[in-house]
Amino acid sequence: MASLQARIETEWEGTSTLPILRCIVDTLCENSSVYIDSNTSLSTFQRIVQDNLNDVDVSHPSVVEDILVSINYLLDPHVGFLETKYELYDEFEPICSLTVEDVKQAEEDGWLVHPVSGVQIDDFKDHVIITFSMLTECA
Amino acid sequence: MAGDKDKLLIEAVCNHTPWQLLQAILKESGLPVSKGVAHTKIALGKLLAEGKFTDKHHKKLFQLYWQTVCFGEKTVKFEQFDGSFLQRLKQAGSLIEPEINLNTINFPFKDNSANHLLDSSAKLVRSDAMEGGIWLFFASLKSLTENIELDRSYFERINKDYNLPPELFDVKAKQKTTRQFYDIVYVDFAKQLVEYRLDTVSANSTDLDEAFFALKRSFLRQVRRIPALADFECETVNLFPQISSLYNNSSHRVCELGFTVSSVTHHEKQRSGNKDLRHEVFHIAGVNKVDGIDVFRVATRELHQLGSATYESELYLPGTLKMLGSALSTLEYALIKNCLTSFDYNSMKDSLFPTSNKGMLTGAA
Repeated sequence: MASLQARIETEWEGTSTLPILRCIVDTLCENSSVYIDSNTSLSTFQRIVQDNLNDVDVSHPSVVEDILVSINYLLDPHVGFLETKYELYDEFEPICSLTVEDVKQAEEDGWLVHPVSGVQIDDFKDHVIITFSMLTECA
Repeated sequence: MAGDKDKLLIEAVCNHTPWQLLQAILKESGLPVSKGVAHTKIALGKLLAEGKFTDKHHKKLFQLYWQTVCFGEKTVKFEQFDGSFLQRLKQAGSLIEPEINLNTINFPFKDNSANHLLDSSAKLVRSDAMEGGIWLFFASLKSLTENIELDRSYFERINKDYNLPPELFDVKAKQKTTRQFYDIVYVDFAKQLVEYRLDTVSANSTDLDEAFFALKRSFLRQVRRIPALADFECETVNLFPQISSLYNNSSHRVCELGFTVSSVTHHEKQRSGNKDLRHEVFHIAGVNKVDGIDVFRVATRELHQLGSATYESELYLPGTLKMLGSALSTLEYALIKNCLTSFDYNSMKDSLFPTSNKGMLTGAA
């Protein structure tokens, strides 16, 4: 993981994204048992940044943008730090996980097949949420 | 006639099998899979109309459906009988005779055209005396209260051209549904248990009480007709103590917990993933900070593989917070869900009553 942290310092030097990206990576590495195989939401990343960077307002659009850029970078297959997860929700709680293929197919068709009941869900976008999971232990 | 049975079979299998498993089984059987259950039913119906639905297909799907009738989605109550009845039950099992001919109602299918032959009382339609126990299948027509969502698909299903005003969404309703039920009573010799398996996991508690009462009444009426068993009695097993036992000892994944610490009530759930709540970081840290927790609700899941698909069967003991308040609290039923085989079901049951169960059945009517 030292190499990722070094790479981040080099690749993002002088940008407003760097402190946010560094903060996210450091926090996840320190608490990897919580974030590996997890369903970490966008608001968790916002909370991490808020808790660790005192002078940052995580509701500010430019900070939100930097958080999204950081997540996107960490999702890149060449970086391989985070993966995307999809979950189907009912009103209150997740029902089951969805694969990327499930979601892609639903986008194409305009409706999703419920993985358990097999019925057609027209308003699937209201019921699918995206979360993230850390892929591997930090060295 | 064979075509009618095939139609009922296709309808039954599609309506009762979890979608991922249905896809795996259809593919394995060389049958068509379309997008979603509705389109798959149409594809299978087309195959039937073209005369391409073979006996081999029927056999494969029937086996699957029969397993779901015996072990699928069940609300189960257990009663213990005294050992002095055991030999008499073993000898008398074959004397129990069905009340109605299974062919007249197309058992084990749910055929609405046979509704007029049934009512809310449970009528014995099939009995099988096996080495490990006695299987009794009861048919009835019952009304259950179910929670439904009033959305576009609901109005389409009932063929009503109606849309809710656009500002209304997530509209829920309670619906009284009358349908056929095939409830089962299984007398387990090894465990000395009478097991009442209701053919539902979604009924409310009032409906459940009535359904269990009706099933037990019909069962006792059948058994006590036999002179040697005229005094047969059994007593409800209280499952509430099993809740903390499952939390402490179950080898299956705990996916739902309700518990209290001091005056605070906690609910934890993780049905969608594969984690055991007992091993979660937050749970471990919390438990380590206190003397212990008082668990009043638990659900456990066990993973199974079917071809390329996986599924989890579930045992749910739906205790309530109130039950912690009395030393005499009783929980009379468990929900056993998503079991496709006797192995799945018995594994769940064995976690409540540890010993092996040899009560196996085939579907041949």
